[in-house]
Amino acid sequence: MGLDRDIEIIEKIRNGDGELFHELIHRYKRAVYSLCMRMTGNEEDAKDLAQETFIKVYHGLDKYNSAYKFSTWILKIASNLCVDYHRKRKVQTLPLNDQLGIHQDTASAEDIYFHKTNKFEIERAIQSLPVEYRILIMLYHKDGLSYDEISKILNLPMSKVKNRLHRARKKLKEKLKYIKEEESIWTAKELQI
Amino acid sequence: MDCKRASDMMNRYFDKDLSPIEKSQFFEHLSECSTCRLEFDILEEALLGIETLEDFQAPEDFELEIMGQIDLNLYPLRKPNKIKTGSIVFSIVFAVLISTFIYFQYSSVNRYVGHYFVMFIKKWVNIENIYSTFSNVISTSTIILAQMLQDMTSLWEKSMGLYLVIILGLCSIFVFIQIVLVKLTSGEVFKGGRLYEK
Repeated sequence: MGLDRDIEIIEKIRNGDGELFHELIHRYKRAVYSLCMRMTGNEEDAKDLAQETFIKVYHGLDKYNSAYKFSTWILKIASNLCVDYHRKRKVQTLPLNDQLGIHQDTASAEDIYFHKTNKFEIERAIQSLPVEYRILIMLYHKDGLSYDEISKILNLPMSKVKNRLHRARKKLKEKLKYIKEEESIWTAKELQI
Repeated sequence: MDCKRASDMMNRYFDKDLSPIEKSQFFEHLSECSTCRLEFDILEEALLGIETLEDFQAPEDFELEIMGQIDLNLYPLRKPNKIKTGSIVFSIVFAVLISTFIYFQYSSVNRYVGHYFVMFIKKWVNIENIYSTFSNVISTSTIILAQMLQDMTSLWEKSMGLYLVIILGLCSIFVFIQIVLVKLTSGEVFKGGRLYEK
C-alpha cells in the first residue's frame, strides 16, 4: 500500500505536479532525519544533510527506477551524503545529549530514569562507532533493512556487508561494555561523596 | 561447543539464521559459560535497544524550506501516457492485415491466391463499398485506440504509445492511397491484383 502510494506520487510529480513532493517529504523525513542525526550527532548538520537528500531525490526522480523500493533509494542517497560528510570533515562526533526525547507518560519516574539512561548509553555507544560500522548498525537494526538492500545502498558485496556488520556488533558490544563500566565507576564515586 | 563457535553463532542468532537445533545448542552453551552469557546479554540489550530507539523529529520548518528550494516546474506538465499489451496486439494484427492486403493487391506472385484471400476477407467485410468500409475501420480503430490509451499501464510508457499512434497513422495513409489507386486504375476492385500496372 505504502509502496504503491510512493510510486503514484512519483509518477504524478514526473508528470508536472511538483507540489506533491511535500507528501514524499512528509512520509520519509523522520527516517532520513533520524539517520542523519545519528550519523552526524548534531541537529544543524543533520538538517542540512536531510534537506540535501530530499533536494537530490527531487532532481533525480526522473532517473528513479520503480523496480527498487523508494525507501531503499532515498536511504542510499542519505547514506552517501553522510559518508561524504565524514570524509570531508573527518569529524569526531560527540555523544548526543538532551536532544534525545524519550516520551513515556505512563511510566514511573524510576522507569523513565532507567529507560532514559539505557537509551542514552546505547546512543553513546552508537556515536562512538566508526562511520562505516555505524551506518550498518543503523540500516540493519534500526531501519530493518535486509543484507541485500544494504549491499545495494552501500554498493558493497553482500559478504562484505555481513562480515562488516558482525565486526560492527562486536565493536558495539565492547563500547557498551566500556560505557557501562565507566558509568558504574562514576556512580560508585558519587555514592562515596 | 567452544566459545569461538558460540561467538560465531551469536552473530547468526541476531541474523535470525540459526536452526532450532543450533539455537538450543547455543543456549545450552550460554547456560554453562558465564563469559559468553555476559557478552550475549550486552549485545542483546544493545541491539534490542537500537530497534526501539525513537526517531528524531525533524524541525518544524523542514518541509517548507525544501519546498522553497526546489523548482516546482522542473518536470513539465504532461498527461500520463501509458500503454496496454492489448493495444500492441491490436496494432500488430492491424499492420499485418494491411500489409497482407497490399501484398496481394500489388504483388506479381500468384495472383489467384490473392484473389481467393480477398474473397475470403469479403465474407466479413463489405469490401465492395470500400469507402464506407474504410471510414468504418478508421472510426472504430480510433475509438478502440482512444479507450486503450486511457487504460494503459506504466509497463511500456510514453514512447511506445507514441510509436503505436505513428504506426496506425501510417497504416491508415497506406489504406487510403491503396483505395485511391485502385479507384483511379479500374472500376473493378478485386480481380487478382496488378490492375493499375496495366
